[in-house]
Amino acid sequence: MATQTKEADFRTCPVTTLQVHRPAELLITANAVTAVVFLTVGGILALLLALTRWQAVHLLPADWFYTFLTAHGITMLVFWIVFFEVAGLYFGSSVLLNGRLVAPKVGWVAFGLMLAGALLAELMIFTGQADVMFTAYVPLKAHPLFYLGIILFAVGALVAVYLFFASVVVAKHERRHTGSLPLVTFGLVVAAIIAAFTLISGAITFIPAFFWSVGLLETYDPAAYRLLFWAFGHSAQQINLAAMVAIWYALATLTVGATPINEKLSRMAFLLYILFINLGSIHHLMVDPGLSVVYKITNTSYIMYLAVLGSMIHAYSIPAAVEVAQRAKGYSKGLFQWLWRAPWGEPGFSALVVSMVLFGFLGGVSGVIQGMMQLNMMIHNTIRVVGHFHATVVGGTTVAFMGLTYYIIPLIMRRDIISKGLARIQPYVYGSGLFLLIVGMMLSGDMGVPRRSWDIYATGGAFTTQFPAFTDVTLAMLGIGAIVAVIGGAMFVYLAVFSLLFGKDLRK
Amino acid sequence: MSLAAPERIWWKPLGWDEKLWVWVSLVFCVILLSGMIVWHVAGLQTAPSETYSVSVERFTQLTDDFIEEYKVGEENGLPVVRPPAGGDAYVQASTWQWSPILELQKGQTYRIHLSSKDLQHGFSLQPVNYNLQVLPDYDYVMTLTPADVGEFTILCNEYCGLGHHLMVGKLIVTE
Amino acid sequence: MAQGEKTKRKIHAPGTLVLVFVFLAWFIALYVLQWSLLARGWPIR
Repeated sequence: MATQTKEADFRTCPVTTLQVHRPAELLITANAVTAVVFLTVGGILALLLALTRWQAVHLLPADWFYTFLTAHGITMLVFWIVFFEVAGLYFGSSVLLNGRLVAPKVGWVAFGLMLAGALLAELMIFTGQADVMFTAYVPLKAHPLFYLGIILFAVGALVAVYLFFASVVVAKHERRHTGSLPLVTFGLVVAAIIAAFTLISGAITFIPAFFWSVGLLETYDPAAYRLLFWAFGHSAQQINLAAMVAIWYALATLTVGATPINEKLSRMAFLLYILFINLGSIHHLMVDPGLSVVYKITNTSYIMYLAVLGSMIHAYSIPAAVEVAQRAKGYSKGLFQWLWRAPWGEPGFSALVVSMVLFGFLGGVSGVIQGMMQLNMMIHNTIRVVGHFHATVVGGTTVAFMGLTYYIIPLIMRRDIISKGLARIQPYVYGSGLFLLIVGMMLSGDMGVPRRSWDIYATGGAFTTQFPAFTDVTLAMLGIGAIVAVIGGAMFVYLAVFSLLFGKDLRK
Repeated sequence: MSLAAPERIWWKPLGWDEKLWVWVSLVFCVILLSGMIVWHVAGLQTAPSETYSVSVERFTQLTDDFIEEYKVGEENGLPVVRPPAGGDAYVQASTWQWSPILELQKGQTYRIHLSSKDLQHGFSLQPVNYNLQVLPDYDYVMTLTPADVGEFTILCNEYCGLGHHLMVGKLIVTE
Repeated sequence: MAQGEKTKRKIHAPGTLVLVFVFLAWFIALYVLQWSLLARGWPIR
């Protein structure tokens, strides 16, 4: 076979003694760096948008607001997250398994397709030819190249997912890894299975949309589009969920040396995700015409909230692993000495805690509640929905990814973090900004403030609207929270980029 | 160690505390599911599910006929319509207006048909805070009983182009 | 087997058990609050 493993392609990590496959290392770096570039773009947009939604400031003009909102959604929810996830998948399938990425060239093809697709979509959005929001609900039409960009990106990501599976199989086959998969890689396998479903759904949604936009398809049923789109749009966030939980386990191990208290329990919880979590795509269709009550309740409840059960298990199992590890170190006084004496100055640990708290207490709880069929009537399309997914995808996933980055840079990219002091406070700054932002959004939404609206008072419309005076406070929370979060985000980008460029070279 | 292979045999019984938490969570999950079902059967507020397929032309015709039959006035260029108590009412969304303005009686039940003339829209009744998705080609029927007197706004909370934030309608409830 | 018997009785993480019940209480509180808000709404079906 031409594809024998060449030992020269590997180096040994002096810290973890893991075998690092050099071509994989390059691909991990390329995908992670691209992800951070998109995060930076999305973060700048976030600030401008939040300062517009804060009606007392009302920064952008309406057309820019809608253009930037479309760009922000797609850049963050798709490009930043998926590029980083691809880096994570390559890491989990090669480095953690001591193995190789089976076909680095295919990895570069995937990278090229994703980048080309992303740039094409961004070009269409920023030239004002695709002001359709992340959802692009038909019959609102964008330029055909916008749909083509998304399709290219999805195909590229699908190739990357394939490469991940192939590498896991080959690592076992070549016996570079023996025994069961590490829990983190197991979690990433779960994320990749959900990703395959997601990306295929994306293709099924957007390929007809492309034909419709060029005129080859006369109509595209709006309700059918919504059903198909959310199989992509919501499931994409479930990839984030699975990847994030896998990273939680990784961070618990890296920071306090935690071992899962029961591998069986944690793996069963991941299994519940594969089986049930994608039914949650229906959360967006609770007040849609055309679907029966039985269909809505069955799906929105993940049959019987079994995916929620999975998350509840992780919510126990991860802190418990930390507690057991801390108690073993001697911090066993009372109920909580293990917690007080945890490494709070370690950015990986604080990111883990910030991520779990924001995700669990704000994101997960609000998500389950607003996914209830009847309760959704009071929440659908209000800015509370936006608060929910900022808690899950930003407070949860993005913070966890940031925490992991503080380890990827020294361990994979072999550079020292340039400012440890800044890294120490970054998760707290980012997390507290997000907390304000999320709570501001949720409270505003509970008072009826719509999402995706440039002016909630409809100045110049047939009638003006009125909201409780307290919305002035909650929208200010949104704005101030966004400012703080963007400062925290900028700290992260600075740390990541400058450590990579100017950090002490650890290879010497 | 979650980053390395676990010990060879990891299929082990759960500890007492793990079992407790799994069972408590499972019971909670069952409660969450039953809450939704019970409320749908016995509660007063549940998500509408009555839907008919309707062409844009047909729904426009139905709305126009409805306006013609029960129109009682006009406000800001929009017709004000008072449907009979217990009867059917039609509201059509289009970029960027909700037409007509309904005048309903408190405590009476109405079947309000919602559909769109063009794009997807979001029916958002404030400050009652009821929000429903409105699509072209679908007639979505909500059976509503206003319980408060006053003037209520209907905003659009689904993005529908540049004038989206100007799309505001009205609903009037009288004694 | 003997080891299995032992792990059955032991509480691994008492602090965590307290934390997750605090979480559950928060969950239930918000859940009840949201339903009580809906219960004040106009009858709709």
